Amino acid sequence: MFEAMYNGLLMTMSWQVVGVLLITIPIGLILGILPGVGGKVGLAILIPFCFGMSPEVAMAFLLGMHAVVHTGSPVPAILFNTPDGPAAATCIDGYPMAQKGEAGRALGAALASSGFGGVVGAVLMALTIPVVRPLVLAFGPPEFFMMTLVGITFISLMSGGSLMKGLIGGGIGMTIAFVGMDPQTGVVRFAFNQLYLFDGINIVNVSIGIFAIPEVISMIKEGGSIAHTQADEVKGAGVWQGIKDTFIHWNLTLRCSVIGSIIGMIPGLGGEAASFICYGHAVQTSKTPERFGKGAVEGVLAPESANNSKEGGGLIPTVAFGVPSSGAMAILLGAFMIVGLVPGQEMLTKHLDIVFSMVWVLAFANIIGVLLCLVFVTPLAKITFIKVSVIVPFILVFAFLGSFLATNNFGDIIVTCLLGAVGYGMKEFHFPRAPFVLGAVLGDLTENYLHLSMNLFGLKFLLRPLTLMLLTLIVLTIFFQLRRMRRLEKQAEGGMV
Amino acid sequence: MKAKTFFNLFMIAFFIAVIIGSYQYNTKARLMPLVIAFPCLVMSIVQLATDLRGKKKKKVLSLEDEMFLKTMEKVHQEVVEEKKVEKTSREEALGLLKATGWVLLYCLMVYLVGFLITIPVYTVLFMRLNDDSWLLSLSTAFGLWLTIYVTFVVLAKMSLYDALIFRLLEG
Repeated sequence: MFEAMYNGLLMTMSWQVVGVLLITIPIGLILGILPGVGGKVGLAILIPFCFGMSPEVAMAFLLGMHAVVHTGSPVPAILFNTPDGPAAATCIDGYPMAQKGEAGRALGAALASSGFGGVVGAVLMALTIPVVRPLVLAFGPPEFFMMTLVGITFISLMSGGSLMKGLIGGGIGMTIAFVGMDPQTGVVRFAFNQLYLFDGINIVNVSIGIFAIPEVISMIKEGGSIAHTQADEVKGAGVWQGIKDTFIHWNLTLRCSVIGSIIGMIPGLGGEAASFICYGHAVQTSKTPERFGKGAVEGVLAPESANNSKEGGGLIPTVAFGVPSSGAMAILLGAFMIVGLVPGQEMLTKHLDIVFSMVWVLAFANIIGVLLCLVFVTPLAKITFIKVSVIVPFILVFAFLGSFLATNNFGDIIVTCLLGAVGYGMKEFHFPRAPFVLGAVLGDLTENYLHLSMNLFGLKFLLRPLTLMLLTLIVLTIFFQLRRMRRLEKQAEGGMV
Repeated sequence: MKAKTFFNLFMIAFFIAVIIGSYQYNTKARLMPLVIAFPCLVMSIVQLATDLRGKKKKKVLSLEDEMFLKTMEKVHQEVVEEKKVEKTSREEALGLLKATGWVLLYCLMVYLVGFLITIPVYTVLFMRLNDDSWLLSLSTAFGLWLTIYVTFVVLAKMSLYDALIFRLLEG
């Protein structure tokens, strides 16, 4: 284990990995600062750049970017009251601080706690690997088959009110994965005699079509620029005070980092939940809760430390079981599979050094990201004023070029456009898109595990103890979600009377 | 017919097509598509029925959505007010049509003239029609073109899409 940890460090310190980290960290910061673009779109359009990279370099390329997306997001939240997802919790106290002339302190606190949380998340990930490893090694094809279904079910919970919409999305994604030659039987399925479809639909096209194209359409529709107000200049002394605040309130920052990391491990719960739960925790444990909402620095520290620490926690189920905890993790999982990193036993045996390299990448990316942000905070904040008309051509170029490079066929662009239309429909009518991508990523694996299980045990594979436990977990998840929805519906009806 | 209903019907049609299509394959090859498509078809029908039936019901939000919206309402009143400018359905449809048109135009241009011509021409066209200055449009277009050319053609030695016009010219 320690050898793998050391090898992971050596891997991370190689010039290729350091080089890609220096490229992707600024990209991640910029994407985080641009509300509406976000990490998922960024991941989708960056995947094609990984073609030809070795697995560890490709992993660092994508994870380095993803790790710092939330480091940049408090900048517009605090300065312009323009949050993106989880940074909404930071606005509650961050923006009032900026209005009181403490923008620098709020930013210093947000960035330092982000970095702190990111490092704690990475450490917790490293500590969890030895615990999870024996469990994963005890799994066989039937258990992994069930785990893929658990993944789809859990991520469908991100649909919020409608579990059904999430499951439908996951179903379509899985069906997309069945297009092309079936490796079990050699039968070409759903290809409509198109040679291009014989190899199946590439996950790059799915990610770009489902996430990037709908965002571009929305951006063109809305137009304008992201921020509308000019912020005051950020002063250095205040920033330093904010950094000191992180360590003065180290207890709160550490607690929220651990909570965020644990929430990150629970599939379907991540995102805004981690930052809001930690904000609530800060209010509850404060001796002066009346200060919150009026510019309390603890209200910035709590959500920001949780925001970054959850990524470390989220990587555990993703690499160990192939069950991503969020939409971004689903895309990341797809990218890992493209470069040959298959989640599960192989990841925790053959590629254990790469898993530990992820831990190091997370830690280093967070530290570098925070330092960059602290140095360039004023010019970075100005990015928020870039007009949509400037951003759109950039995203379109990388989206379509990325799609084309998937297999060097114009069919890729057509498929991306069609999936973009489906993605836009899903976005408009509140169908969660992450289960779609996860279904497309896991479809082949699920089918493979099902056939292996059937060949090894027949239908009796369903009666194996672990399989039964996982099946029960799926049924209970669906049952409790339906019960919760029914309760909320009743409350809503009661409220209307 | 409302767009939402149309989208639900699209889902139903999709899963019906998958089920019908699956029966062309042998038992082993059709097993997984059927295992997925049948329950999804049922869920899509239930979803359509729920949407048609439940219009009068108040929208049920997830815990995260509720928390997010409550905070947004409380803290960002100004931003919310600004964004609340109601758009008519006609304006919405026109906006969507315009946005889709821009995306499709990009694909068409790539098909006809390839990436290296599309990138600068489209960027200038898009930015000029969105009231950006000539200087900004031309410099952005050139910068973007140069980045792509140097990264993909010079350094990575990749051949970008062989456009229709060049294939025709080559005979």
